[in-house]
Amino acid sequence: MREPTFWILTALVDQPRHGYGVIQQVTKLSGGETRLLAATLYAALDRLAAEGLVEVDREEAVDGRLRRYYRLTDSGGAALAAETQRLSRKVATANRLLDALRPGAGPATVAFG
Amino acid sequence: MSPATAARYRRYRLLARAYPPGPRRAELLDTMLMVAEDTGRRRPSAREVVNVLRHAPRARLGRPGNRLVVPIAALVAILSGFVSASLAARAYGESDRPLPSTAQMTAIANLVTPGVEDPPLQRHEQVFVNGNGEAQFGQVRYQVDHVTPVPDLRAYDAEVADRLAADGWRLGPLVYSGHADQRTAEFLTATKDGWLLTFGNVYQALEPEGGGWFEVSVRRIEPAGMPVGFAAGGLAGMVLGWFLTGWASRRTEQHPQASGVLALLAIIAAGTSAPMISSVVQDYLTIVDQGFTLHEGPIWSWTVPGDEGLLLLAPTILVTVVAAAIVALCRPPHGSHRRRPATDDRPGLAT
Repeated sequence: MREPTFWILTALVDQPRHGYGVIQQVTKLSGGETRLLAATLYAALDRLAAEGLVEVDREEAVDGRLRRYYRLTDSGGAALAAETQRLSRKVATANRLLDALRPGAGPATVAFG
Repeated sequence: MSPATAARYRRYRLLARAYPPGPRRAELLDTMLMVAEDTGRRRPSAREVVNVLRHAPRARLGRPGNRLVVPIAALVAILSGFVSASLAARAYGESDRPLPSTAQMTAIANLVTPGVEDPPLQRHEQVFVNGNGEAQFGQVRYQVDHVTPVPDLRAYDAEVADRLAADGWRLGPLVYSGHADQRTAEFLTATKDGWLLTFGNVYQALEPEGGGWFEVSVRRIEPAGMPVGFAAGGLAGMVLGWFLTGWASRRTEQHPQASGVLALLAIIAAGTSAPMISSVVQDYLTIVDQGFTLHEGPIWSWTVPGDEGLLLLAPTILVTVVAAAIVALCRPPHGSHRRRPATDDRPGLAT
């Protein structure tokens, strides 16, 4: 899962959001590291909708402008959970190896594989 | 709406029009406007413009979330452009301009092969396919053995070139076989009055003592408007191919397996036709550069029934027929005649 996809799914965990809401939430959650542009966001949303990971929650017309809200589907939640576990395992592995190399943590021998 | 807000709206609406009409264009515009209002931006940034123009073609082709659809459309466009460019060039190239008469050919023979009385002329008024399955220009030609020994090929041909130049022929490229200093064949080209003369002087063997022969042919030079016709035809075909891909993409969007097969077929078609397209494009550039090709057949030879080029393109044609059948068998999605959305980017809707 690419990083923008991960953040878009994460941004939709707590509530349905419209496009700009997703952009704002992704910027906030990623600490400003990921700043989505509108066309990139909608290309990703189209792809995620085709994969059944997100869906349109509702539409609103605000000042005559169309605003669609997107929500995470059950499959989207499951995919995000699986990705999160995968990333957690990676982090745990890296941390374990780094801990073994820290001074005072015993012999600096690490067995790979 | 203040003038500044209205101006910003117009600029972003113009950018959003890269997308096809519909809800997606409307919500993209809304989102871009919200970002612009939040950041105080009055016009789209270069990054936003590039981003929209990068993704809009996918939406225009009916697959906004598909990264492959634009490259596939480009391949189909190239293939379609190649076909239409060739047909346009053929329309220009098949003309009724006269070839040299027998008297004119005799005069030419006196210049390039003096001493040859009544050369055995072969005349083909229009493009024809020779025994090797190669389309050849309509031409008048003859081939005769060296009348007298030609001990120095280059010296003999230099004299021929001088006589042609003195008679008003404009000398073109010269190609040869063998080593630069030990040539076994030379082919001179010269143009005059819309004709291209090719004079070949060929040794039977490496040594001049083995004798040899002359090959002389005169054909019509490519029409002056042909390169423009080729380019215009190619451009029109590319546009057609692009729209054709969009139509096929929408028709098959509910059929993911068929879509995958079609993408694969497009890649195969492009791959199998690439050598021919490359050859034709190189030939075209030669014509643009010097006004004529050095090949024995026209740039559109492959469109002539019986030419080997058509055989080389057989896999491409087969793949295209299969792709067309798949598209025809796929039922378009229900409601493909989309209604205009109630809310879109029409100016009156924004306040």
